[in-house]
Amino acid sequence: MHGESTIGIEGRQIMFKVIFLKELLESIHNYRLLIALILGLTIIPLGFYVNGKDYQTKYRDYQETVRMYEESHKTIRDITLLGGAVFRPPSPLSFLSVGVEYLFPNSIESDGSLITAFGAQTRFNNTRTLNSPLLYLYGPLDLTFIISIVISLLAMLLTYNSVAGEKEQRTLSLILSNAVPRNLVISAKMLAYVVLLSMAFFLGILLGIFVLLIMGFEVGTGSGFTLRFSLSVVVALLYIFTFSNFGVLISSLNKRAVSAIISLMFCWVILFMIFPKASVIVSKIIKPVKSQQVIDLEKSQIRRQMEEEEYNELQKLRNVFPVVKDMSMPEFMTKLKQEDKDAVAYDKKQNELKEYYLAKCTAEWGRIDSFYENQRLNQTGLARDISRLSPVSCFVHLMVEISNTGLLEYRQWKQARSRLKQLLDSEISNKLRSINFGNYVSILFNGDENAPMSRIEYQSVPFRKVWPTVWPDFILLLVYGILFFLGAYVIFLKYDVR
Amino acid sequence: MFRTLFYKEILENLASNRFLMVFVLCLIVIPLGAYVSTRDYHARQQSYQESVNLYNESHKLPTDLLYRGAKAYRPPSPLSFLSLGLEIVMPNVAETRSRAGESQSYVELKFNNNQSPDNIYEFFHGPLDLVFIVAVMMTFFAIAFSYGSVSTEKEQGTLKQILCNAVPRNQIILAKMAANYITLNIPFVFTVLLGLLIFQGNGFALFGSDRAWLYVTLSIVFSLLLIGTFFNLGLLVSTLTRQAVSTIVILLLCWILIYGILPRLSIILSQLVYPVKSQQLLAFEKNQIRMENEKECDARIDKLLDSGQSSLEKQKSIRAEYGEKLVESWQKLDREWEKRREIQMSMAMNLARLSPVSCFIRPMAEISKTGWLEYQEFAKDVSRFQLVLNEKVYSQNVFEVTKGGLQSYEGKFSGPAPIFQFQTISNESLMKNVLPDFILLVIYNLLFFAGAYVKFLRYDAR
Repeated sequence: MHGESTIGIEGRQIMFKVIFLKELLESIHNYRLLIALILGLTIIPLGFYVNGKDYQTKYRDYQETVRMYEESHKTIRDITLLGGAVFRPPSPLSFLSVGVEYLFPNSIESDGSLITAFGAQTRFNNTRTLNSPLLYLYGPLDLTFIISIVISLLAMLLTYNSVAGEKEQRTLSLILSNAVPRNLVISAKMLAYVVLLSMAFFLGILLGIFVLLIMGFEVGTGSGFTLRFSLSVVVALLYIFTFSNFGVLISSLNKRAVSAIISLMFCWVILFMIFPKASVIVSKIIKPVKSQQVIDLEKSQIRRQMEEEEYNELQKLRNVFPVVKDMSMPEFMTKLKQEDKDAVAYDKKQNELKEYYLAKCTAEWGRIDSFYENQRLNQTGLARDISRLSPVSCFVHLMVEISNTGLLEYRQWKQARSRLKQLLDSEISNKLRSINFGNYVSILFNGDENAPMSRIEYQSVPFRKVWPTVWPDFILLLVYGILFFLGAYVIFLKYDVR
Repeated sequence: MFRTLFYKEILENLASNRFLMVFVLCLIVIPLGAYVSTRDYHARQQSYQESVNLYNESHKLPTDLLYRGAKAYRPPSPLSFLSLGLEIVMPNVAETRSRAGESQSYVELKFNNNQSPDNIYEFFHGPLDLVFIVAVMMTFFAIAFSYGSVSTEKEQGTLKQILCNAVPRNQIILAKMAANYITLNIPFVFTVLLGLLIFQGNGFALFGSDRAWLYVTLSIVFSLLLIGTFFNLGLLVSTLTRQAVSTIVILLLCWILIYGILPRLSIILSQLVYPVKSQQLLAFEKNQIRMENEKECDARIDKLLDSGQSSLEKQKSIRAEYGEKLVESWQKLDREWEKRREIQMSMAMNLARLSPVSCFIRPMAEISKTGWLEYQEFAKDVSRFQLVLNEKVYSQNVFEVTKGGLQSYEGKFSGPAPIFQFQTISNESLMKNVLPDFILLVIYNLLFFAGAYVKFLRYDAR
């Protein structure tokens, strides 16, 4: 510490450079840089290639599915017979993070039988994961996995020895007995590790981009690909910075290299396993929510109850109109066409009843949906907040949302379900009239059945909506990086050489 | 001599901080994982039971099936705390999908997964089942327990001192292996037993009729084998290197390769070498065939109506003819697709077996009844149910088309509506399926240990 006052700025710069280069050369000498480079240059481009190829296949499937759908679903009549659907294109950025994309239903469908005068029922359809069950069992090789596991382990391997190793070999005492400012030593060391890891990462990324270009990887328009990709690179660098500093911090806390690496391995297990997973568990225990299946059952019970009530009311109504009661279905239809007073009055009352029950059922369903959705959001929010105690979770949150394979995208996809319902309701269900007559039901369509049917083009979450959700994770990751740096810095400065 | 060496290693381990850390982490993670997994299972089981009850209540007669459609539910696996496997992504129901205003004389049960992920966030970080705990945490600990066993002693020069004495080398390496492996597994086995108590306490019959204990024992054996593989690999690398630092660097790199790269790469390679079209595309192709078939059938019936010689019998025979044609072409398409996918999957599976982690993850899913075998069994049961449905209900649904439109007449049905019976995979088929992976894990253990043993015997102490 005493040396600081006697060394000028230029001297400090030279000293910093010397220590920095010493660390770099040491890493080259003990093959750590080589290993980092080999891993970076093989796994990252390989991950890009295979995920890119996978995306291309999925996108072709998607296009083929949409083409076949459009060919056979042109008019309103086609939809009433075959049902309507919306398909979700795969995310082109899934090579950054596959996230939970394989859990997303790949289409929203409504069978013809589910489009009734009571409104259309839509449902998610998930067939994608069954195509490659082993992929789900073993997990993907995306950039998030590579960075969060491979690069973080590499960071551990590079840094565990940084201070503890020098303490053990007594070289640190030798260094510190000279007029070398301690802050320079620790800063140069930390910078060297970040630079080394970033170099391996950057070269891997560059080769990965080259591979994507050779493959003819095409990106959909308007997906903000470049922006998202650049942000993910920044996030990855921040993660490297954080883990590298964490390694130096643990190394500064230990007196032996072996205890440093063992402590790091245990810490890695805690940061990677305990916090992210325990957060979900804790949130489930603190804020339990009923499963969707149970909620759907509740909803279908309500619907059935309403249908029963409606049926009974319709029966009562028939008794009120004695003339209509004794008619057969064709007779009634003829009378209706002839604008017979009783038939028209019965028809009007019947429609009023139907509209009343439809509105009642929709309101009840809406209430149930919003109640459980709020509960679920609270539970997820709690889990997310607890898991933020680990930088791994912050990194995963960021990467998943940037790649459009996370919670935001799932919510957007859920909204598409209500959009499909609205479309089917406005173009078909609202124009359908079911006339109940005893046990008979006659369905009439008030409109042109051969008119072309509008389509819903699904749009993924735009980039401008991503940042407002992920900024806390970005800031936290930065804070963790700085905190670990400061921790290592302070401990190193306070280190007692004796 | 062996006993002395063995006790020395055991005592050294028990007194170390790493043993305490492993114990504490196992104590937190394993019972917590078991508790949450059983809670999740309870929720799934409740949903399943309610769905089945509701379905059974409203589908008592064959005519109910005609109006409301048929469904076949797959029960969730109580062993999902061992491995969640494909439980969440596997279809949990097979159902008919009728089209508006149409009577059907042949139905196909289509798979659907309506266990929509309620809290999709929990899948961001994967489940906390025994498979994950062993494949990530315990393998890491196995490395931590074995990396220094030989190389540290080489580095510190203590190995030379030991070998200077009249101590048989094979006893040293055997004692090191046995003592470290046992100490590593004490916390694991203890906490797994604690987890099983939670499992039992939550109302599961471990020793009940479904022989859960057998699967639990088998999964513990698989876990111990995987831990042993990484442990012996650690021992081997430790004998091959002179410095503990190099040992740990190589071992962590091996871990990345074995856990992170090989299993994933195998699937990707199989997909590239042997591509198979997606199930979604297949479904569309089948739908196209159905539409064409129906168009042809309707045209024949229209012709018959125009000729004025139409009768219910004639229409029935035309429909039966087209129905058979449709089923035949669908089955042909399904068979071809399934054959291709089987080839692709077995290619991926065999390539992945180069990694001991793959030899652990897949069999664990099968043992926990959350794997591919269970899905195939469900598919088989569903196709049997489909046959019964078509034979007893839908083919009896007689209807006739007149010039005025469709007229449907229900056939004469007797007895209650057919009910779906789910039969889980038999023990024999399960054992046959997981045996190659078991043998491979044993081989990996033996190979790594034999390598370490030979290398240690040939070690030049100079």
